[in-house]
Amino acid sequence: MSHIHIPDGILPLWLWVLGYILIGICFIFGAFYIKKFQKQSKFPLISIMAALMILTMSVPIPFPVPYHINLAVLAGIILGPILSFFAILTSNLLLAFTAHGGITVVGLNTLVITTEAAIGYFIFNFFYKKTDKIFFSAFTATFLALIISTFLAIGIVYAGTHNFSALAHHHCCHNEGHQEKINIHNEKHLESELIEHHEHQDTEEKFNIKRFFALMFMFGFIGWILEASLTGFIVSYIKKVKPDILYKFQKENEK
Amino acid sequence: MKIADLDYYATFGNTFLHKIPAKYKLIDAAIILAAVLYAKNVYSLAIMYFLLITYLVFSGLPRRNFLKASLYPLIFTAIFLFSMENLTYLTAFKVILRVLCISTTFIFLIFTTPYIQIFRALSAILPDIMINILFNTYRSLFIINNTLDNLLTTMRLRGGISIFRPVHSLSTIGNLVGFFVIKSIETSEKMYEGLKLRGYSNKVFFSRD
Repeated sequence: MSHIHIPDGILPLWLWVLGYILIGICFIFGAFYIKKFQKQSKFPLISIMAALMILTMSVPIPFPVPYHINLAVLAGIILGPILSFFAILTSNLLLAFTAHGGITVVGLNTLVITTEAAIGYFIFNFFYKKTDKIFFSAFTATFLALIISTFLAIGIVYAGTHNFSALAHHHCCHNEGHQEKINIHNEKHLESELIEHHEHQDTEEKFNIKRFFALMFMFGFIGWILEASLTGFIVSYIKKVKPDILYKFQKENEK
Repeated sequence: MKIADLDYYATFGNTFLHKIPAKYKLIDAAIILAAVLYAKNVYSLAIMYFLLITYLVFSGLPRRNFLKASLYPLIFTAIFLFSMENLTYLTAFKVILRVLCISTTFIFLIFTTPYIQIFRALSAILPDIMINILFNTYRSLFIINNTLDNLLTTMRLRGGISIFRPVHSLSTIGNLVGFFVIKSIETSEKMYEGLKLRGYSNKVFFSRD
């Protein structure tokens, strides 16, 4: 649910280019980490996690609204915050080619979901080591990570669209042009011009962040609970059947 | 639509678009993307979309599945448009046409170009690590897809999931995906051993054919 499910052509150029620049920096850091710690043997695992993220989207969820899980927190738990970046970038890139998410927002989507995976990893690590309750730790980690990443996604969308009117109508609503118009008019017309300006503002196309938040929250809240519960059940199952996968979260005396 | 289905059309399709090299199609997609992002006029966007649809009609591609995939982003566009105040028809059309032009372009690309060819074309600009992971992910998709299909069939045969038993259903799906994750991780280990035996050195090479 924390995907920026905004397709191509809505967010402004500066924002999505910034997204690509930021993931470029993350990529350089990640590549350096892989080289330094000889993590090349993890490539198949990263790839499998990326494939898992794509394939599990097709698992039916018993919920009236079509919803899919993205397993970002699980990827974070299994791969760690740095390697999960590569799995998330790959799955976003492959999905963008199928028009799921948009090619221009791959950078921003990757940033949001990697943040989700990293936050999930650290919260899970904290709670599991403190409480030793696997379902509770995975559920809380996923739920909190999804809330934070959804707010991040909403913030990014707001940053790119709060000035939507100016983006949509370059010619008719440009503030500078409007200001120029006001300056040209003499004092006699100023009052009527200001009234017109206010009326214009009332009918101006605006992105309503509250409405967007309400829509995201309406669909998101149930989605957060579903994804958090599922991640809880998945991690509990892994702990029961193959605990070696979660070896890095074991307490010192259990190792 | 599943990536495996898209790949089927891309690999076994035999239209004139399939014969065009992937790098030209990528360049073409980039040009259309830039043009759509630059276009401020609703008419130019409408003309572009009309041309793309005309292309589809004469291309011989499966129209229904193509349209299903290309119209998918409209669901999310609707959420965005519902969040707008004082939205005019003109702006709504502009946004919708922009989204449709870009999604249709990329669906054209993916319906007519196998992923392997796209990776090969992208290997000129993307770093080795990325190509490596992309290639392995593509391979993994098909390897573990059968496992997931079998698991989903088993789940349905054994009673499946029901909206009236949400906790039980979530637990069932959780166990299923948990099993799938374990199986996939085991597959990744075997895959790595297999690749190493065949001389894999953390780099993917593409043949010219």
